[in-house]
Amino acid sequence: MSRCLPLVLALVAATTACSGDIVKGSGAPFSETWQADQGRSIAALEQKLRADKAPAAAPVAVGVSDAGLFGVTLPDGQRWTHEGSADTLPVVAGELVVASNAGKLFALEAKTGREVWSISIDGRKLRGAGDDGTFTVAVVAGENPGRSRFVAVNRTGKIVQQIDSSVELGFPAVQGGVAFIPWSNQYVSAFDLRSGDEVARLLLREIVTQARNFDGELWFGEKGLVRFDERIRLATTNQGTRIGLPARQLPGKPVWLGSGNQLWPVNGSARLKIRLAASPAASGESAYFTNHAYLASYFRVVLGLSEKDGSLQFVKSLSGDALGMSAARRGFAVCDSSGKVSLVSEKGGDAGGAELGARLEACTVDVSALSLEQTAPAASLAEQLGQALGQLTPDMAVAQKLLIDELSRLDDPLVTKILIDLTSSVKIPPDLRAAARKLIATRRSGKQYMLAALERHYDYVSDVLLPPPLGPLADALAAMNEVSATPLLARHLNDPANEMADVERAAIALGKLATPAEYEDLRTFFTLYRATADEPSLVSAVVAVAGALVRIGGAPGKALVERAAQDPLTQPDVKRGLTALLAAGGGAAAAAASAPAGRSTGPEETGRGAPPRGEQIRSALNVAKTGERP
Amino acid sequence: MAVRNPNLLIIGAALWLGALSGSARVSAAPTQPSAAKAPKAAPPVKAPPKSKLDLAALQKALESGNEAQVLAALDTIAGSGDPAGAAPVEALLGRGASVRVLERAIETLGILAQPSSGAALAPYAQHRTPELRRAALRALIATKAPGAGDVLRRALHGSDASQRSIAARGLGELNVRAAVPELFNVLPKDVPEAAQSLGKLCVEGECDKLVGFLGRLRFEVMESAIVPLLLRPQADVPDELKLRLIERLRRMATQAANQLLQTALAQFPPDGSPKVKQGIERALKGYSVTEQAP
Repeated sequence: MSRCLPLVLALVAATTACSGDIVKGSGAPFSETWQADQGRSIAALEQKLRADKAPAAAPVAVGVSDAGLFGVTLPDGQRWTHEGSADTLPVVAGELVVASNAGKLFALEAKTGREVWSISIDGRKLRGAGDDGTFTVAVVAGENPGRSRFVAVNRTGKIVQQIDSSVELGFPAVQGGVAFIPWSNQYVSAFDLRSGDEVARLLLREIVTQARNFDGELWFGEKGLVRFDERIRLATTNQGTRIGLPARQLPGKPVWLGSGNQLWPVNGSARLKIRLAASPAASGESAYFTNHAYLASYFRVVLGLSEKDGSLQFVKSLSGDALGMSAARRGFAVCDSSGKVSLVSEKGGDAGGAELGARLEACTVDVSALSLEQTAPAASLAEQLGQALGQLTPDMAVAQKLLIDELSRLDDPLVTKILIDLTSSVKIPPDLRAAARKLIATRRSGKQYMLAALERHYDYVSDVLLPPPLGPLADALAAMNEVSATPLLARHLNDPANEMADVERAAIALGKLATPAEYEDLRTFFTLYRATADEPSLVSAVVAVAGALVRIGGAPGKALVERAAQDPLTQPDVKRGLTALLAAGGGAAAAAASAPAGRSTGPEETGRGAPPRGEQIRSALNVAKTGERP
Repeated sequence: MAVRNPNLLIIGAALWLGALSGSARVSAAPTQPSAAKAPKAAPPVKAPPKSKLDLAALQKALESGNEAQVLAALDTIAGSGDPAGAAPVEALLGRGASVRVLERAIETLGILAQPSSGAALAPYAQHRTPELRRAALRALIATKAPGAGDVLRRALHGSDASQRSIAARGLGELNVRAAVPELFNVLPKDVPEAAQSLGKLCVEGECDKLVGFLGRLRFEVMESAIVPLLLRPQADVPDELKLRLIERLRRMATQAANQLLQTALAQFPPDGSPKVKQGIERALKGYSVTEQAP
């Protein structure tokens, strides 16, 4: 089916195109007066081209720096360089790498970097390109709207078609000598490059600015993609083979392909570093993403997410900001600003890598036709998250929150260690530290890490400049009825490097857990502060410790508290709390000391319920704080 | 080598407290429950000389719970300087009191300077009120209590910069050799007081290491280390090292270095090494310490 559209005929240049010469015009071919044909023309074209698939993109990564282009073939790692940089993101199109620089559009052999052709594009820049092994198609544009140009070039560098358009043209593709050009966010026009005819047009009911070749298959759309297959006829009524990524909140609000109507300048902007990558595929009538997963980048961290629900599958920490990503048939590739290309298995394990040999401002990578084998298994997801959190800088709060949220969903005891480590690093921003502390208090596994953390104290000499998260650990250990923590908690009571609020929580935990072995530490604390408590949390701590002394200290412990309750020098709020504690049945509390806290039964074991002696202490604390009896 | 495990210090201090707990702390504390360790029996001591203080009345005042009365009693004890007054004050610390009372009580024990007060003072070196813990450290240094060194070493590990300074200085005053590695650790970390103590405590290679900080730390910091170093006997610090140090100071040819040598010469002990004294004199005249006199 080869014919010229009436509007094309309206132009002299278009007329010459019908005779096989270059079409030159100014926006005319993309007519909006076209009569919808219910998908007949595009379906017929699909049938015609079905056996003439476009070649898949060569597996290659191409980095851009001021010094030039740096390529490496994947996975074998053959490197090449090309003098002269690129002003927008290069595109891997079939066996070529297409890029623009200084008003020229050029193509390099993907395997070697050898220049195949170069043409003038009158100051424009590359927006998108495709290749079918014979023709390379590209849309180039200016910085300002309305200067889109479509060009089709053969292997000798001859421009076989060129159309200037005032309508914005999107990212093009080509298959079997027919170019597919999205335009006006709605249509994909199919041009026979030999005749210059618009041989078909696709109308989609969603935004279409992209015509993409994934592993030899064409897909059209932007947020979602419709496959160029036998169901394309139904695409107009939303019944084509369609795929899209699940909606999911991600740091920086990354986009997958983005608008095909825009340029991707090489300027080190964050836009290049916050992206999604996925490769659609199809089996029968159903579409899916390879690996059943997609990637989301946020500077130095890349997340592997499930195609089904966006749940986190793996996290990859990079040595530089992620600049380019690609999903393979199996596995993924990520190119970062340090010049490293990391190959990742479908499960997030190591699958090799390559070096581009330069620090980069931008990078394009395409492995859509590769199947990558895992060479080393991935660490546990908890470990991956921990490592990624360490990579983020203080200004990446959104990503930190996301990773922390993901951590909190894991039952792995290692999560406890990671959270403790986060609270103990001076490099971690306060917000993140606070979030990690909150989560530690909710942990019910990783006891060994909690106890190990409590062994640590502030130590100027050894450069331990943050005490452990005492309060959250105390909360968690108390909820776990972990009596083995009591000597450690008791020692922290008398360490002034701990925050007062943390000491209060430790005191309350000891009110529940303390054993007679902690008597001396508790007595010292009580003695030091029963008359010097100058803030509410210290008052609470003293009263809580008094409760423990009454419970575990036998007659001497009770006598100590009773004397303090009578002493005029005892701080008034403390005094009130002690009086209430004793009145609430200090004797009963002391009797309860014979039953070790760890072996108590009832709601206490869950860490949520209130034990009888806990009630007494809480009641006393309430009196100390409010001055009122409950 | 720095002490990497502060827990050792904590354990040491705890053991020391346990060993000394026969004084104020135990008398103020109730009988411990069965699980708590029983204190060791106190060694027999000679009966103290008869006190001029009315100890019974003072004790009554200290136990009155009336802040004014307690403060007045403390003033009486401090004014008397009578060591017999230490015990009731130690007992007061063992019971606890208001900040005002505690400050005065700690100060009083510092004035009385009784080694027995160490156990009562030690817990206050970790009080959350900075003034109290600093006062406790100063008092501990004054008492020269046997375990004071461990408390000071622990304070050197703490988060309070003033406390670290007091501790660093005190470790030198109390001649706590075991603290040398920690003092070296904190010296370049903004604890200049460690220099003076190291000047008093270092031996052999340690002194070389200390001299190595010359030029890396402010001269005023090193000055406090160098003078005591030059004045120490040959048995502790070899003359060769001192002469090298003097020569280095001479070559600095600054007014501060010259002033330092003059200070050392003025304080030079009569039984000090003649070679070192001669070296200082030669350096002050601008002659090389290691070459023959002109």
